[in-house]
Parts: sequence; C-alpha cells; structure tokens
Amino acid sequence: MTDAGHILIVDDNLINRMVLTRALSEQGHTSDTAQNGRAALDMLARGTFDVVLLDILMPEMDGYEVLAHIKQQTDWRHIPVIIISAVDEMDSVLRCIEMGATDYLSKPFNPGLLRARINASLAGKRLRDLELEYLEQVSLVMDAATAVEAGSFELNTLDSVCGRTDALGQLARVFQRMAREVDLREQRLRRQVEELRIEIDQTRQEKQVAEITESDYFKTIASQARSLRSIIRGDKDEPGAAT
Amino acid sequence: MSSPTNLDYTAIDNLLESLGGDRAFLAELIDVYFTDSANLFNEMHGSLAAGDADRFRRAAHSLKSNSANFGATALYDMARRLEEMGKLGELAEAPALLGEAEVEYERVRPALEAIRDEG
Repeated sequence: MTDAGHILIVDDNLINRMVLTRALSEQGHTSDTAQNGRAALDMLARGTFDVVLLDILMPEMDGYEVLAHIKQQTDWRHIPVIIISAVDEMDSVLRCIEMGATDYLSKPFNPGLLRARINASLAGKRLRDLELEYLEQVSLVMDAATAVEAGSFELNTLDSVCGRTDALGQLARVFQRMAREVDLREQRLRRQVEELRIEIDQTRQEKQVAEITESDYFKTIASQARSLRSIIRGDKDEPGAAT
Repeated sequence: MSSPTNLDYTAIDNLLESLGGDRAFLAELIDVYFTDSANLFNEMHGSLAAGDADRFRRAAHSLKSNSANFGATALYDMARRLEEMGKLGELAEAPALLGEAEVEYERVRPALEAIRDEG
C-alpha cells in the first residue's frame, strides 16, 4: 500500500479531467488540474506534486513542450510523468518516454491500471526522494570533515544526520563525538599553553628584576640611598640642621 | 435492456468503477459529453470552413477521447479517422465522414440518455 500522493492532471479535455480527478480521489489521492501546458507549468511553479498525468495534444503548449520543461528544471525533473494517450498514439508515447516520461496510461482509463501506475510512480518518487536526502546528508558529513581540517567545524552541523538510525547516522555520531573530544583536548591544551605563558612571563620578569637588583651598580645606588636616608633622618633629629 | 451494438457497456462499467459507483456523477458526465459533442461538431464544421486543419484535428481528438470514455466505439473510430485527416492536413473527405459521425452520435445518444436517466 502506497501513501497518498498529490497529482497534477494536465489535459484540455474536461471529461478526462473530471474522470481522473474523481478516480484519483476514490483511490485516496488529491489532485489539481490544468487545461494546457502553460497552466501546468504555472501550477508546478506554485505547488508541490508527486506525479504528473500529462496529455500530449493540447492548445497553447503541448505535452512534449511541458515534458521538456519538466526535465530541464532541477526541482521538477524527478517528478514522475505519466503520459495519457489513446491506443493509436504509441509513436507519441514512445517519443515522450525517450524524453524522460516514466510511464503511460491509455484512454479510456482502466481504474486498476490507473491505481497500479500511480502507485508505482509514487513508490519510485519516494525512493528517489530518500536517495536525494541520503546524498545530502553524506555531503554534510564530508563538509564536516573539511571543516575539521580547516578548524572551522561546529558541532551542531551534524545534528540532523546524527538522528538517523542507519550506518550513516552511526558514522555521524562517532564523528561528532570524536570532534567534540578533539575540541575539548584543544581547549585544555590552549589553557595549559596560556598558563605556561603566564608562568614564563613571571619568571622572565623575576629574572630581569634580579639582574638589576643584584648588579654592583644597583647595590652601590641602594647603599647610597640608605646613607642618604640615614643622613636625612639624622638631620631631622637635630633642630636647625641645614637641608 | 436493448442497446445499439455500437455502445460498449464494458467501457461504461469501467468508467463507473473509476467513479466509485457514483451514478449521479456518471449522469453529470454524460450531460457534459452531450454539451461537449455539440460544441466539438460545431468546432469541426467551423475549422473545415476556415481550412484550419490543426483546429480540426484537436476537436476530432477530443471527440475521439470522449467517445472512448463512454464506449461509443464506432464514433470513436470515426473521430480517430477525422483526427488523422486533420493531422495530415488532408481534409477533402472530412466533411463526408463528419456527417457520418454526426449520424452515429445521434444513434448512441439515446442509449447514453437511458444510462444517464437510470442514475
């Protein structure tokens, strides 16, 4: 059983649009309709669709042109396109399949075939969506490795990948843990280096002070200073002494 | 129930199944078919008069598609041949075949009215 999809019906024929809308609803899907190719492209730009049911012969813009546009757009090219055709239009159908259409559905519609084709297309799209998501998350882990080398890695960038229950999630969790340990170790080292620097600075200052205070010159000056202090204290004790 | 041999009731059954058995909706669709067919025949006459093969082809294509939905097999075949004439731009014999298609349409119409009225 496949989950419900949102389907775009592109057909200039009113009865086809009415029948398909009701048939898809009976099968649990939702749908929107477009009467021509241009309207279909507008709707694709404004909404999100899981499958496109596409007629070929339409005014303004035919099915070939719509299909070409869909396959050129990055956001649309993975949407399955099922060509709606009459049994005598096989050449057109083959052309569309060569252009990238996923499948075809002949008119008049057989409800069982409609269900089978839609469900197969939805399953294919969902698998593709999972693949794309997986590739995106692999890319996140690779970017994280680059960031670690550059020293710019931030721990929370892998949070979405770490939530996975598969091997990629496990890799991301191990990577994040190791990156956290490396980060903590670096912080400890930086603190130790800072403490050493302070110690070194203090030692250097003490040495510089010692070099000055233990010099003969300083000792001479200090001795003279002491003598002067003695003289001054002696003069203060005797009233009328000259300064 | 008596019926013209050129109405395929299997197609009607398939259609009804697609609609979840909703006979009222089927009746609505049949009415749309009648309205559409009248418009399409007018369109084909108009495009023949204007010599517009492409417009003729699209109208015949729609008539073909609609007729297939309702099991009007002979009318479907005529519309298919009219569409081909439009596609090739060879409309010399189109008026005659178009006339035959209109006669065939009047033959299937009562059977479809009966189905519509059952709903």
